[in-house]
Amino acid sequence: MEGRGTILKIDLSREKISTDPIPPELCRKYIGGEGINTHLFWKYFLNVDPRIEPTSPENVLIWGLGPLGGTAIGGGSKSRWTFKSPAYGMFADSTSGGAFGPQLRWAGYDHMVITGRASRPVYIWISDDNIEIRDAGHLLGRTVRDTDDTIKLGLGDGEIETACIGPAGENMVTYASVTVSRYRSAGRTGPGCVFGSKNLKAIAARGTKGISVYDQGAFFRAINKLVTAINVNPEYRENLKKNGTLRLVSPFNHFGWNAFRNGLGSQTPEMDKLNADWYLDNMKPRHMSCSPGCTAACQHWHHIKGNESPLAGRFVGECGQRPEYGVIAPFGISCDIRDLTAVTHLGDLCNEYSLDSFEAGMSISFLMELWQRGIITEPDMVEWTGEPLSLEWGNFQAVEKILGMIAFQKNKLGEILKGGVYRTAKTIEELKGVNVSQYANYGKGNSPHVESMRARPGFVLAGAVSAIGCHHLKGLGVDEKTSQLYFGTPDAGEPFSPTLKGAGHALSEVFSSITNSLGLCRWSGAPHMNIADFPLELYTSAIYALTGITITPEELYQAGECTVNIQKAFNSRLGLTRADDVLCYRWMNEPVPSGVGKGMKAADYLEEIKDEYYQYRGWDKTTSLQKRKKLIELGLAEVVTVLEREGGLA
Amino acid sequence: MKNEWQMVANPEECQLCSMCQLICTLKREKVFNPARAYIKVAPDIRPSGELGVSISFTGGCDNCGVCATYCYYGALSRQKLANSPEQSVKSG
Repeated sequence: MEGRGTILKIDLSREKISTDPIPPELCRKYIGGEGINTHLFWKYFLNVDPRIEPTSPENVLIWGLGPLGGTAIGGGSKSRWTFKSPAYGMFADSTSGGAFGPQLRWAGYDHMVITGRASRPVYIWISDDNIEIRDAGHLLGRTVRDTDDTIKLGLGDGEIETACIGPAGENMVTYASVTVSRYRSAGRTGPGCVFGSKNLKAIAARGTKGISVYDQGAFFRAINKLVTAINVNPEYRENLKKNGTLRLVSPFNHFGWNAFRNGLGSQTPEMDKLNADWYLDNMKPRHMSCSPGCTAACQHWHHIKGNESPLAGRFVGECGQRPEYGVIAPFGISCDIRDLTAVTHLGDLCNEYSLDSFEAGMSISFLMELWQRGIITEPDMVEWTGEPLSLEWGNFQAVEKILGMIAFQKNKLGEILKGGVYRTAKTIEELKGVNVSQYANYGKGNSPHVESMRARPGFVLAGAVSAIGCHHLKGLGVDEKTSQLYFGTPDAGEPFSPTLKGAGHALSEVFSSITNSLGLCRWSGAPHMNIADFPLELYTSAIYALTGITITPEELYQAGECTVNIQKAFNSRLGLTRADDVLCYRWMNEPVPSGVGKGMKAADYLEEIKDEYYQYRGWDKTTSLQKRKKLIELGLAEVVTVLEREGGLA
Repeated sequence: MKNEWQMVANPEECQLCSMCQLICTLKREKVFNPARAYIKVAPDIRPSGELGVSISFTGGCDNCGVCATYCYYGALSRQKLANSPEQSVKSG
C-alpha cells in the first residue's frame, strides 16, 4: 500500500526486533496515529493483565504517527505515545511535535511497539532498515540536549532526531515526559517514566526511504484545499500564527480562567509581564514551525540577551522554543513568577529534565499555598532539603531548585513530589497530620490541570470524563459555528454556559481523536473545535491521494468514535465508572473569585452535563459504562465480549 | 529551464517548516523524502543563541520553482535570468 509504513516491534527483554504490515482494513477502521495505537494497546492487554503496575516490564510503550504526518499536507506532524500511565494508573496517551516522528515515517515505520525491559540502560537507533539496541551507559544522568548532542556526535549524523528522557525519566518520576527533537515534549501522563522503567534512555531516528504517494495530482489538490482553509480563517491566520498557545494567556485572564496562586485567584494582576505582547516586544523571537509540514508556524525561537527583564541577566545565552501556555500557567501564574524570561528558563529546565510542566509547576504552587497557610514551614524545608528554602509566592530560585530535586531525587522533598499533586497531598497529610487535599488542584483521582476550570463548563467536563486522567486535550468542546452546524444552535460554543456542553464535548472528543489519528496538529492542521471550517472531506481526500484507500467522512468519524470507545473500555476493565469522573474540592465548591466567570463553580452544573455527555456517547448515564448496542454498532463485538466477561458492560 | 531561471532564497523569512523539501520530492518522485530533496534547509544556532537558517540548492535542481510556490513564508522565489543554480544563502 502506498503512503503507509509498517509496525516496528521491539522486545527489550529479549532484544528481539520484527515488523508487521498494516493491513488496509486496519487503516480504514482506525486510520493511524492515536487510532491504531489504541487498537494495538487494546490487543496487547488481551494477553497481559490490564491491572499491571505501569512501571513493570509488562507495560507497553507504543509510538505512532498518522498517515498525514511527515507529508506536505500543511497541517504539521504530531506523534502519539500510548501506554498505561504511571502518573494516574489508567489508559494514557500524549502528543509530541518535532521531526522525530517524521524521521521514523521516512524510515518506513508508522508505529512502534516497545515491550519488556532492557537488562542495562539502552537506546534504540533506527536508520531505515537498520535497527540496533545500543548501550546507553554513557548517557545516564545527562540532560536531554546533552543526550541528543552525544548521540548525534557518536553516530556522526547531525540530521538524526531523538526522543530522550533526562534524569526525571531515569529516576521514574511518575509524570516524567519525553522530550522530542530537543525542544518539543510528549509532556503529560508520564511517558518518560515508562521509558525509565524500561531502561530506555532514548530513541534516535533517521529516515531516507520516504513516504510514497498514490496520486500525486490529488495530493497537490488536497494541500491547496487544506492550506486555503487555514489561511481564510482569521483566528488561525492572524492570532494562532502570531502567538501560538501564548495567545491564550490574556483572554483567559479576562475570563477568570487562569489559576493564579494555585487557584486561590483566577486572574494574575500583572498580565502585561506574562502575555504574548510582552514576549514578542521584549524577547524579539523568530517565528518557526515545530514540526515538518506546518504552514502555521505558531512557534517561536528565543535567545535571551540579558536585558529583557529583572531576572534575564541570569539566563544570558539560553535559547530554545517559546514556552507554551502549559508552562506560563503553572510557573508564571500559579507559582506567581511575574518574569517571562524566568518562566521560559523553567520551561526549558522541564524539557531538559524531562518533566511535565503542568504537574511539576502545580505541585510546587500547591506547596506554596501550604506555606502561605503555615502548614509547611522553614523547619520542614530544612528537614526535607537541607536548607531553609522559602516557598513565598514568586520565589523563582526556590522553584528552580525544587525542579532539580524532583528530577534527581536526591532528597526528601524530591521524593514527596515524585508522584504529582494528588500523591503529594496525601504524603503531606501523613507527614503533618492535617487535611490539605482541599487545596490541591486535580481531577479523576490524581491528575492536575493548570487552568482555573470552574468558569468554563466544557473544560470542567473534559477534565472529569477524559480517558487520560484530568485532561482538556481529549476534546475542548466546539465553537459556535460548529455548534450551529451540528445542533442547530450556537449554544455548545458559548463558553460560560453549561448548555449543550455534554453533546459538544462528545463531538469534539471524536474530532480530537481523528486529528491525532491523522498525525496532524490540533491547532493548525485539523482544528478539532472548528469542524465547520475544516470539514472531514479535507482529510479523507488527502488519505485517498496518499494511499489510494477511499474512506468516507462517516467512516472517518466512526474511526474516531471507535478509538474513544476502546480507550473507555480499557478503563472500564480497570473498574473505573462514573464515580471516578470527579474533580477536586476547589473546582467543585469554591466560586471563581474574579473575572467574567466570577461566582461559578463546578458543583452547580457538572453532574447535569455528565448525564448529557454519557447519553450522547451512547453509554449508560448511571454508571457511565458502555452499552452492547453502541459497541456493536461500531463494529466492536470483541470489546463487548471482553467487557461482558469482566463485568465492565452496562 | 535550468538556464532561464534561478532560485533565490531569503533565509530570514524561513520558518523551518520543510514544505519546500517535501514538495520537491513529491513533484519529482511522488514521494515525501527530504533526504532526496534538491533544496537543503538547516537550522544554524549561533554561539549567542540566535537562530539562523541556511538554505542551499543541490546540483540536481532545475529551478522548477515548486518549492517557492509552496513556501508560505516568502523565503523562496524564482527569478528570471539566473547565473547559476548553485548557491547557498545564510540568514544573519
